[in-house]
Amino acid sequence: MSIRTMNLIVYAALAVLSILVIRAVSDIPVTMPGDVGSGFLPGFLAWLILGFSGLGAVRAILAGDGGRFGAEYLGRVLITIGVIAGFLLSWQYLGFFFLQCFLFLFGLFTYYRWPRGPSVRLLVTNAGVAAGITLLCYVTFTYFVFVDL
Amino acid sequence: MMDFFSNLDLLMLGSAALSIMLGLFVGMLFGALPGLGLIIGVTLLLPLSYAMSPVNSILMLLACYQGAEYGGSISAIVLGIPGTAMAAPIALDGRQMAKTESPGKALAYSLYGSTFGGIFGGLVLIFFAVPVARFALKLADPEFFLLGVVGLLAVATFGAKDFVKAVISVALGLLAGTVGLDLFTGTSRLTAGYFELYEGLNLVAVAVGLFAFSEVFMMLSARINKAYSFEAHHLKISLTLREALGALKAMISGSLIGSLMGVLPGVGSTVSCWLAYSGAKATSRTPEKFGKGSGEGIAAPDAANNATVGGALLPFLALGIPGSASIAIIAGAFIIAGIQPGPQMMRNNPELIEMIFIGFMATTVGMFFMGKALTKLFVRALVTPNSFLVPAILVSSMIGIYSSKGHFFDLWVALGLGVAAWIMRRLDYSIAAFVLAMVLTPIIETSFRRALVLSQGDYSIFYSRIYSQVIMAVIVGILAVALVKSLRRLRNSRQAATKGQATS
Repeated sequence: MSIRTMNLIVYAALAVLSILVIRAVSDIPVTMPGDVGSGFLPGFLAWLILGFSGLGAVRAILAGDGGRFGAEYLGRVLITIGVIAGFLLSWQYLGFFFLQCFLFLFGLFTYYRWPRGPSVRLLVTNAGVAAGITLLCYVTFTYFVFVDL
Repeated sequence: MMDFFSNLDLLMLGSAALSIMLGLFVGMLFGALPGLGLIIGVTLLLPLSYAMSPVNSILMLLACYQGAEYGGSISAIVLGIPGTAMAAPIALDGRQMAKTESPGKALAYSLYGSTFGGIFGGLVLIFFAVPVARFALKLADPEFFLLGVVGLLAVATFGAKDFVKAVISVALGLLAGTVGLDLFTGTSRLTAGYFELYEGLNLVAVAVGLFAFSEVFMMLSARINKAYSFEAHHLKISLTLREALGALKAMISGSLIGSLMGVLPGVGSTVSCWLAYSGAKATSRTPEKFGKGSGEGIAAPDAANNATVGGALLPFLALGIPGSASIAIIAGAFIIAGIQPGPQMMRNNPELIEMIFIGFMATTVGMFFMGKALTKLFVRALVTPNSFLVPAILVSSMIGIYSSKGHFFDLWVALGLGVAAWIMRRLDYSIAAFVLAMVLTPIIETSFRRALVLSQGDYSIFYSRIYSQVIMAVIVGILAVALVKSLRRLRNSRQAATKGQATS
């Protein structure tokens, strides 16, 4: 995908967001004399975003392709986002935070470091570092910050 | 002042010292590690504010800010890779000195410069904050509204690559700041029925999502198993008196430039660092040494870096207007503690201000000693590959967000914003402008609406007083600069296109 296409997609998304905001605040009444009302600023900003998105879109159409909008290692980023989402869901619904934290860390360490060549040493190092970080989190947040994770 | 000292107790001092040390350690470490840096360090420490007293959390974040400014120089000197954008000019001479003389001496110039700049910036803050705040008491809602607009315009104009996208970033940030119950009427806005949004978007979740998550995704888009290597000897961090005095002039000029640039919203350390480097070169007796391992070339930008911190705090503490994203995140600690920075705070909480002033100076001195003692440790931390850092940052980010309010909703918000910021950063949108705008929203909206209510809807209130007129002149000036910059960029791109056509 070209940078121009990506720019246009983002401008379109911003335009949709602006329209949703304008609709959401359009019926908020003004209750104080002299006041512009609760909906004025969000509405004004949504119009501003809409206008500048339009301007940006015209500029993007007139400009060249601008090169390719891609990311190296895109798969790795997407998998990581998926793993974070999975971790959040499991934390929310299962609730064994520290066990899940260890598994999350160990899983990601192993996934990221796998290209270095799989070995028992790599797995032991990953498990050790994951356990160390989990322990640090446990001590810090349980005994110093007093957060029930 | 004597009353202040008599009110101090050892426990308070001990906890403040520990907070400063924690902030310095995290700041130096995150500043040193390439790709992380100041904002992520401050962002990850912010959730701890919920479990600390206001003074301790503010001092911790300020210490992190100071520490990261020095920490950025460590990787610039040892690896030639600036840990932060501000440390880029330091790499020029720092790396050369590390190669030709010793990395320890280059690091010492950096540390001495940082400490001098930090103290200088602190003194600027101490001597000017109270008079500025006293003057600010004469300002009313229209002026505060206009000052907020100045801050936003400056960020959009000076700190961004693309003006249109910077304006959209600012508008999105302001929009994000309006989410929740309206302080005037109690009407809920843009909450989509989620009770978690009634108090507004959680600043910790927003900052972590925008800065930490998006940076992690950036790191994942590059090689993450790359381990840096260097020769870890000659790391004694010391200068002779003669060497230190030789760099004094550069430190003074760097500190002056840094303090001044720090006060201006949207300018920040990166610009002040380069200006200090050029200034030191122009006034040096040995300008030919610059770029070849000059101590002055290291000390001046480092002094400017740290002097910027004191300068940047001045408008924030005195007027309540943060001028950069890092200060906006530090503002989060004030918001969490229910304190509104500005002239009223200076008048109503003199003890807090005194603690911040004294703590700020203690932070700088602490940075010197911690830098002397632990720089070797931070140098060794540079070998940590991102494959270990990324998951560790993710976990600490998620715990930080959850510990702020205990809502899973905030974690999902942060993840969503992180993904969006990862895409938008690569398209030159400014997430720093977004956060700054979000933090400024209450000041801007409240001042604007209160002024209108008081004037019964008469807009002339925004330009009827001399103070408003001066601020409006500044706004016009900033807009003129933005216009000139845009026209110049347009002309350059047309020239480049013409050249391209001619060569093809």
